[in-house]
Amino acid sequence: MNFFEREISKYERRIKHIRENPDPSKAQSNLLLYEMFLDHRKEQLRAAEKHEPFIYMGEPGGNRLPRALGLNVACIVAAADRAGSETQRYLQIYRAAGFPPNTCDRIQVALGLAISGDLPPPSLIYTCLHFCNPSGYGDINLAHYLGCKYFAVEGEEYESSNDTLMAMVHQLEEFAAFAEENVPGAKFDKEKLKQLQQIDIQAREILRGVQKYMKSVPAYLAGQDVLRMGHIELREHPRYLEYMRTLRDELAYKAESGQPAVPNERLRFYWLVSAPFFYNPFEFLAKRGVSVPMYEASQLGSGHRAEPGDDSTYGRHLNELEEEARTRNCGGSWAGLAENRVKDIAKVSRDYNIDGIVHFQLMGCHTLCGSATVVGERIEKEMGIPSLYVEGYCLDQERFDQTQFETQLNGFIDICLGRKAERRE
Amino acid sequence: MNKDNEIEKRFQQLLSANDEAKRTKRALEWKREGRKVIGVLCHYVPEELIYALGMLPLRITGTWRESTPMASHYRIANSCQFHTHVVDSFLSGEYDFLDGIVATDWDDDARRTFDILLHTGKATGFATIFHLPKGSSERECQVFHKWVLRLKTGLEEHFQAKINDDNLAQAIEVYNETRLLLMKLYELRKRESSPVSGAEALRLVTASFTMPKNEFNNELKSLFPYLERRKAPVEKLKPRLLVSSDKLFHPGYLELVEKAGAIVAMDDMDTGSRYFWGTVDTTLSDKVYALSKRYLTHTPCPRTILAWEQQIDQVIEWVKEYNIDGVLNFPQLYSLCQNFGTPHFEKRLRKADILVATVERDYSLVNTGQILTRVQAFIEMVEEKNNK
Repeated sequence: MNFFEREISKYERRIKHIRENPDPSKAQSNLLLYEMFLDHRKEQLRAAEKHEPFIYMGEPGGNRLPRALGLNVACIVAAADRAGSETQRYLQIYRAAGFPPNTCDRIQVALGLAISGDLPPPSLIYTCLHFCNPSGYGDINLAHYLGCKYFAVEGEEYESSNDTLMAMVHQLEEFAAFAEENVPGAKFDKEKLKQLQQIDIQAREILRGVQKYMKSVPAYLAGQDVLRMGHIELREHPRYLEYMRTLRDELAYKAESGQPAVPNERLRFYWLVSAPFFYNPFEFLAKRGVSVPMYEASQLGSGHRAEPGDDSTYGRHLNELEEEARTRNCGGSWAGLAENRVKDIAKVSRDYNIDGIVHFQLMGCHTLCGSATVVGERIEKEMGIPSLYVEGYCLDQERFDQTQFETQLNGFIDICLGRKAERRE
Repeated sequence: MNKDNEIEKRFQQLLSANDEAKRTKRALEWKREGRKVIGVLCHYVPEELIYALGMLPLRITGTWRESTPMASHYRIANSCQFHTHVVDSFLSGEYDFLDGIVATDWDDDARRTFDILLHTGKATGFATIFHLPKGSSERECQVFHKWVLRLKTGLEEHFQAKINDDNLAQAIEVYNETRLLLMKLYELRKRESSPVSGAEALRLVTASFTMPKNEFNNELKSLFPYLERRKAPVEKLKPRLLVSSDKLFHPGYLELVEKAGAIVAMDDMDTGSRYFWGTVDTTLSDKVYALSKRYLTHTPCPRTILAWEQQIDQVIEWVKEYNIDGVLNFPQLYSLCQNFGTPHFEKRLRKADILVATVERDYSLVNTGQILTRVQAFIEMVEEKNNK
């Protein structure tokens, strides 16, 4: 079975289970989410079976332009996150290809998946070089390995000036021209790009409706609920905004019910970088009275600085390509110097009344883990908020030591409780 | 013979300039003379701008001590060990005398190293990092040029001095002379009997990092007649290997390869040929642009991935020109840029019918037994092919 077929089978099973075992205590939006994913994978499978051209890119954050070119997009890192039981096989394929084993396991699994043949072969790989080395170098060397064309854009992550924005616009124009020349059927549709951007702006506005429930003390939304937002690769589904509204309303109802996310909330943690996808640390923390009202990589987290539709960043309203360039130009606070990340994390820590910060040290992520101690020490010095640095993997379950992980979290909880008690005195 | 012995002593003294105990010696003397020293963390930094202001650009070599306890507090274990060793050097106070540092965002680790040096107060005085594009197209040259201009302006404002056409032209002349001298020496390595071993060539290039270039040039020029008749002190002149690597500063690694039974006749390294290959075009009227163009386009590395194909072409050419029997790809264990490129590099070379092997190494000289075994195996493979 290829990737799309496995996904289709998975979502069919889940939908069947929900329909046969209705549970009003579970989120109804999940059913809609699975139905949308099912439709999406079926459409991708159809395109693959008709031998329509596909392009690869890492994550769906920058896939509006490729979609506006009419391209079928396989977001290999997002797909890797769903590798499930195939994870170890993809890791072996990746390593057998001679690529470095000490990099982020999400990239390893993504490249292994791309090489495995479980996805349709790409006509083109589209990448962004300045976010992090593993994604950029991984994508281009994957293109060499597969013998396909690639196109890379590169921003200057240190500034979001009009100059750098326009430099990125020119690169995106070059990409569009390159795609039209090299991928059969590719044709830029400006109206479609505008439409996709509008959907994202609306989705973000909908999400903001629940933000107050995360900021409140105690938090009415935390943990997995904070992660469960976005799925922007589904934005073209006709029910996408309906899903976002349903999700918002369900989360709001849960919050308004008066039951905090974590009964007897004692502490509030800000969770950085990423988390093990095969294990729920938030459940573990919740049992100990710790809520996680914000997660760095979530759609509303500090990891994302490029606000679509925001006219203030560049002092003017951006046109469609400029809006696209915004996300590529200075999209995340993690890729530039640590100072930016310190400012963003400090702001979130203040806004969400954070007692402790967990730096999930994703092994192989030099960009984020390389700045962790600098960020942690600065935040502690300036705000008195302590940090925990805990190593882990997102996908490689075989290397995960649950006992050690939980021991470290427990120790940190004790530290934070002690600090909080001192502050009260 | 006595005269040759004397000259050989002088040559060995020059070669030892970047040894751990000596590498800051000239820089400290420079400081005592009332002059300034700027630490340079990357070979893409246009040193001529610093030199034009009468300051000494000191290319930083991280400590060769095996353990890096101070750096470990900030650096994750499986990241670039060059940067970890550099951080440890700074944190242990070895570079406290610097008047500034200039870095590039060569990779994620380079950025984070700069962050650590800022955070710990070790990046004092003039501290700057600039963006290094990953290709060398005209657009990227313009981007790089913008950053080089900012570096120029930054230096001028901080040190209240002017980089003008005259002093910049003089600096370029001196640096071009260094490049031409080293290229001339490397030309001699094409001979069946090279005048220098691979380890010595590395020590010579890294020696140039530690002193004013005019002093280096004068000394090397005076040694040249001797070098032209010198024979490299290696056990075997065949097989001839080309070593490709990044951030390889410790000559012990090349000594190990040569003790294993080969000679390193050429290299593709930022601490070797890539540092000096290609001069700045002095016919261009805009000298800063000429500098930018040379630094960005001269010899790409796996890091400058969008232009790297031309460097692989260059390596293939060198294999023919230098009569190379095999290429040893010698990446540092946690260097993502080079390691991601390994499958493609090997594939291109094998397609050109060149024997290639990849052996990973650390930054300081450790795990030599394991490395020696793998290098020996490669040399045997090369000898077997030669004998057929």
